[in-house]
Amino acid sequence: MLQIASAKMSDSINRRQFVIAGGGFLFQAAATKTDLIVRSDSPTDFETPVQLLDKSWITPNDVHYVRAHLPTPTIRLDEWNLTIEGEVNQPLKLTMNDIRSFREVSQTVTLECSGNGRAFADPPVPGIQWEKGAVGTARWTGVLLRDVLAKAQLKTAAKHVVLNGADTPLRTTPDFIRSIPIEKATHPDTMLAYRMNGENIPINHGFPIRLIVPGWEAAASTKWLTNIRVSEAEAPGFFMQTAYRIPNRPVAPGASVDPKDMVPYTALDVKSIFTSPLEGATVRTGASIELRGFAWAGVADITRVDVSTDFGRTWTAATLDSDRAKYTWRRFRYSWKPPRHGSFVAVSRATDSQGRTQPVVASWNPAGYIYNVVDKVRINVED
Amino acid sequence: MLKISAAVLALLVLTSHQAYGQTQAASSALACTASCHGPSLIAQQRLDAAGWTRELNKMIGWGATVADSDKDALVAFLARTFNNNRPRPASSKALPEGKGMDVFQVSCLNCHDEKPAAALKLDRAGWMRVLDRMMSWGAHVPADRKEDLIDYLLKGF
Repeated sequence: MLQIASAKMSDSINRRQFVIAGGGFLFQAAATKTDLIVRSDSPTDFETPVQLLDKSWITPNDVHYVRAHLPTPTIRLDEWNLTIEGEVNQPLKLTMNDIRSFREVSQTVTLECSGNGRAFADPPVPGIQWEKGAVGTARWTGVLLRDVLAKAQLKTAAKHVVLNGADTPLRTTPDFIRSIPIEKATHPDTMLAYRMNGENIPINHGFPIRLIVPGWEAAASTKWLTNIRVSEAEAPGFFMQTAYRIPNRPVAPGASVDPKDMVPYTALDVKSIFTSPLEGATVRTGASIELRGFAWAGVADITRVDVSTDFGRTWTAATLDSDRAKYTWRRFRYSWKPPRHGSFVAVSRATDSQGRTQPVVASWNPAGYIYNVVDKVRINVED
Repeated sequence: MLKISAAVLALLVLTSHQAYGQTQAASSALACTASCHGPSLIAQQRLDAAGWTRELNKMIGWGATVADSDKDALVAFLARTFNNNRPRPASSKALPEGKGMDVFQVSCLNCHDEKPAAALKLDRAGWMRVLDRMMSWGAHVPADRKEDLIDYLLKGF
């Protein structure tokens, strides 16, 4: 399969040898090097094929999808700091050792790119043409953002935290700067992560610190974090005021929407995808096959996944695996014995703890966000 | 972001009457113009003239240098070449087993389904030319898997 580590990329990665300042050990930030779909090699946008997602509940670091808007930065940890400034009484400039002195926490989180599924938008919309695999689940370890903000002592004017990473724009392209409301920043599950699945976060995934905003579209989870500015206002600039916004009402496909009617996309919607079988797979009559996939719902929990194998005429609840955690996907499984030969369509439809269920008709928005229509795979059955 | 020089644009205009995939020069030329991102960011889009105009204006606003007099020709080329008449991506589609299938699935079907390849009847040299052209537009095929992919294409899956 496709090996991302081209000679060029390997050279680039080899230059990124890091020493944890004061951490007492030498390490190399691991590279993402696996069989991913290269949507863009510069900036690095890699999608996970669903057949690789299918292999485990936790997505390994070298399988997890990668999204970047700007060139991946080169970071020397002995020169790296995280600054906290703005509407605080005690501005901070923290080293990695300073950050590790806070109480350590771990949690498993499903991250999904808001544009996952954009390739299916009709009419097409510009942007990275993700199909199903801009989603993954990892175990993140770090400290709570609220603990760090408490040390900085928030002022009463603190309404948003503006987040900037070490990635820098080219020429006059806008910097990738976003913000989250203070309520989400001080939520007890929002964290500054320094490990991903037990390893130091690989450079493609945000080394050395990635903000993790559980349940929200993943652009909120800033990579390579270097600066937190506490502010009265949302972040200015393209990536907060124009991108990652959705219409405040359903709109006609292809419509242009007045910017004043666009609102930030925050918590993920309910969604499911099949990871096996693949679209167009051929199976034999007489034997059962397992239809399986994952379902997730942002800050909500998956309560059920229904599967239809007769074009949506009838539905049966799939079983959900016991692997589960707040903010993570659930694996669903459904055993199906094809009744006869023919060409069938299996459909999955997830429902969450907020009572939301996947739509059967895809809605459309100008940037192709939140594509969460029921998933379908065609299965050909032969005698 | 695009940086379009007058000379490159002239080459694009000269070659833009030909359909996508027929002119290595056009492919290479546009690939060379991408100074802030790789060519695949362009090649994966499916936009009409209005959509490409919006994108081009956005890029110009971000520093791309395109002369006003060149914009119409460039939009026409992009809209003719990277539009919604092309097959859709299909990277999660099941395919006949065979050496090279995995590369075909991930490196080719991420941009278009299998129909364009199935429709072509080429020899090894022909597939090599097609593959080189696709790679100039950003298709990512590891050097040590190129032969596997061509073997798979030759068998017609």
